[in-house]
Amino acid sequence: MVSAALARSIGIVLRLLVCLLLSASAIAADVAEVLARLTAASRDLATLRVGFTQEKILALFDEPVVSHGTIEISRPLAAVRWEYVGKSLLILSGDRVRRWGADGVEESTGGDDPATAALRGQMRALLTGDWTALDGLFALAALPGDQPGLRLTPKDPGLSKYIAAIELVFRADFAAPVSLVLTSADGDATRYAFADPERDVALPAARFAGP
Amino acid sequence: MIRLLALLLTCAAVGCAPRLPPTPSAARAQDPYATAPGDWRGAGRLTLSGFGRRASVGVLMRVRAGVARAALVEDGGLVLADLEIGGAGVVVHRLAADLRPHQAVLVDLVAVYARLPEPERAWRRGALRARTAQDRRSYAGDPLLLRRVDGAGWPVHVADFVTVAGGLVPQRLVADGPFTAELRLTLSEVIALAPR
Repeated sequence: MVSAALARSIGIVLRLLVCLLLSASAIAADVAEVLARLTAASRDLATLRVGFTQEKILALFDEPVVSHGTIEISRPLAAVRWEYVGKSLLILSGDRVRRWGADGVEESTGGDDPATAALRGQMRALLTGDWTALDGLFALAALPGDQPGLRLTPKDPGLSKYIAAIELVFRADFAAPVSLVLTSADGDATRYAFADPERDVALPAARFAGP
Repeated sequence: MIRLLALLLTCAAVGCAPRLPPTPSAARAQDPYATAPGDWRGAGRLTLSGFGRRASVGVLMRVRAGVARAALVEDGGLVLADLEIGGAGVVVHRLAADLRPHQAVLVDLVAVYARLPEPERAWRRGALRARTAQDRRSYAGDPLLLRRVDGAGWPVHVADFVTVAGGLVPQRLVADGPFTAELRLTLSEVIALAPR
């Protein structure tokens, strides 16, 4: 069914999103060293909000397709809110992943399929600080050059059908990512530019309840 | 009971659809109208619902010289499909492996926006029925607009139009699948393109 295919695609991207969130909190260049620095940088973090701009070049259009979004993380509430403005909203809260469409109607996230189970597992990792789940999905390598960054190459065949690699560059203080480039299996690139993060902002529980 | 069930299943299989609007006699003299003559681009969402589930992805569309090209783009940035349809046929620039078995369903949706030659046209059961190289089209109502496309996938109904590029463009499409499954394509942003 088309529904299963779409849900699978969304599930794959959900996994990617969680990996991005993981990255925002704890990944490394010279993996062990940077992991330690990231963990240290996020140790006292309670809440975080960071906006992003997504830019994609498509053969369809002469100019890049640009969209915007915001990520909010609350450790006290054990929750993450990821919003693509005017498109969709993902909320990871406790042990549950929920998604809403642009019209505010709740959508499927894959039920109890392996992709969703993996997503939940990675969410737990985000909240507990156990990052071993990421290593199961991606091979990690440091980016060349001076910037603290990481290249993630999918190990999972289900992911590598869609994603060739993810390259993340972090701020010098490791508090949040600066940029991300997602290269698809077909070779095209989606670029994320992250704004300056706002730390310890007030994020009420309602932010993680729905649109 | 079994006959009722069989009828429902048949309806699902053939996509029992909303009836076409009536076409007044005076409207039969109109030229059938499918989409705007000018070039345009659009963005919106494709939503699938059915079997108690719902999912959506972004849609980007461009129509130049009657050739429609559409991409399905997951919100994270992955292109799931990139299809081009015109008088020369269908070009699949990209299609995710998981969606390949459902190419016909997606092609039928994009084909609504393409200007395809209609060598055969005839009035039948209150609607102007046309045949292209790849689908059958029904024009009805006043004005006499494209209301339905039947190809190799699910029947597609044009639920609404929007004004752009010197004419009307289908803004909301509904494709009826089996067992109440439904695909809805809605263009929330449509912009005329400057002629090349």
